Amino acid sequence: MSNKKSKMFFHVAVIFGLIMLETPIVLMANNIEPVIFGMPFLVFWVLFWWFFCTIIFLIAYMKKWGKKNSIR
Amino acid sequence: MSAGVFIIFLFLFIPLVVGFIAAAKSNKSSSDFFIQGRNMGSVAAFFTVAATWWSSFAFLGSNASFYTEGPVYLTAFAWNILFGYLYYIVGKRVWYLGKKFDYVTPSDFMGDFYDNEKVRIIVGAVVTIFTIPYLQIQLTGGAYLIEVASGGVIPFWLAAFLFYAVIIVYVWVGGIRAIAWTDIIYGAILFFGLLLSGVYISNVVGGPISMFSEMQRLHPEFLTLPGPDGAAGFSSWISLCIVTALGALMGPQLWLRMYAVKDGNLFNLMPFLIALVAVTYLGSVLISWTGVLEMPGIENADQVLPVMVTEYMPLALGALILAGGAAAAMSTSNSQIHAVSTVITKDFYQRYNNPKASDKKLTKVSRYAILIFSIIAYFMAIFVPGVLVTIGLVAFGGTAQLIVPTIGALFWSRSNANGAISGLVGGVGITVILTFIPGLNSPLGLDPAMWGLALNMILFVAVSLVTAPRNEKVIEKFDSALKSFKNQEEGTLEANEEKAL
Repeated sequence: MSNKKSKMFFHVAVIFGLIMLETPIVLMANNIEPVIFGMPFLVFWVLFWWFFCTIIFLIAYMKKWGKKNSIR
Repeated sequence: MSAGVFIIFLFLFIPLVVGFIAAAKSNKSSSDFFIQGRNMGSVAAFFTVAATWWSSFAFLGSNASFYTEGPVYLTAFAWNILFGYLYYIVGKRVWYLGKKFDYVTPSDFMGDFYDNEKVRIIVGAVVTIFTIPYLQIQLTGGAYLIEVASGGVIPFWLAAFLFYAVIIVYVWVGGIRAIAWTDIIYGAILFFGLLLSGVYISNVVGGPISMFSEMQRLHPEFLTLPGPDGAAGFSSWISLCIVTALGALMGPQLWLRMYAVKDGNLFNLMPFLIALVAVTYLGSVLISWTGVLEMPGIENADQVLPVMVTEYMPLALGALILAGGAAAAMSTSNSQIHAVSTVITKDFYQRYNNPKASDKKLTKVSRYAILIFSIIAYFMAIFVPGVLVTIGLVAFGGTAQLIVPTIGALFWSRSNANGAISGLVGGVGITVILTFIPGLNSPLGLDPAMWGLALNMILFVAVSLVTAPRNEKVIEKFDSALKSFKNQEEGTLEANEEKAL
């Protein structure tokens, strides 16, 4: 993946995760059933997207957010 | 209760020692006192950002919210993501410009970019005024926890006094370095403390999974929005997330922590770390919902955590957790006191009163500002009560407004001082009006600050467009600085130019 594309990818992915959590889409997940890993669905939903963004952040850090020469 | 008192004693004593060790490393310059000479190491920077961000608002407020309002506080997982992300996007640029043009306070940056004294003053006033209530809740929360942890041996007023005395002493001698170092200890206690006590306490009902299934059987209304009272739905969900993340990011204490960082690489890492520590909120979920099952009817919701911990955990461990809560409060208030005193010293005293003040004099003035400011907050904590989350939102709502002119400065070169001023005045104005005028409800159930932000943005863009652009030289200065930021990041800059920076 070229730098520019991977740079885009990180931002799009994080914003996508935030959209899943902070737009009315979250209301579609606003249920107790199905219970997943013993957690009510809303709790699972939040943890899932939180985990998703956290992993994206980790990869972004390792790839310097797609920058060639991140300033130190 | 002697174990509790002993732990509190240690808890107050250790930071003092750390503060004095930090002070010994100081080179006595005012820049060292304010922003550690832009030389703060990554570990200290992470802990001081995370622990400063993590206040009693989170430690006590999260439990209160889960206990009374259902799941709305789960939005905290998203606000950590948003906060971390913005710390990268905004923070790294602010850090770069701060280094380049020698900024110390938020007003330095805004005043310089918008090339306007009024902007400088408004920004200084907003960060000072809205930090006071936030500081007050830290003190209230922290002192309350000390009172409980000591089993009432140390009364509230004395707890608050001790709490402040310790902070003032180490900030006085060590400046921001002492704060960052003590924040490493506070941070470690509070992150592990909350999560561990959550797991521990949920064992009362057979562990996390059986806690959830018991909740589903007995109190399903707690597991979905809008919660048991039907009061905390999507509007609260999104308001909390946005206002908290922006309000905390734009607080003066966080600005100082953008300038102080030594290694720019930290900004790349910070989103991950900040997002990761959100896992501690699970501790609050476990504690509070176990509380709903086992201890319904606690009247003051801010007391849920202390009550649960003293009831279900061994004495010494419980006291340690409560000390962790006090740590959350201390690690935020020490930074706030220091940041506001820096703002007062640099933006008001030095700029308008005594521009030629010596370096030594500046440090001295800022120390006295710390003292005076703390005394004000002390009396407010004693005499002006209130529920933590509510007061917190008001404070965040005010500082959050600064995000608009900040983003404008970093990404829109057409923005100007008139836009920034009208946006801020309109945004803060509508937030205050909707919050404080009785009978006036914020439309759609959104937090007043959300309307503040909307109006702020509209005014900022509209007024900027219809009034004259900024002075060309100033535009050029920032355009070229931000361009060189971009070029360096992308690695398209000549090697020799890079060395020159």
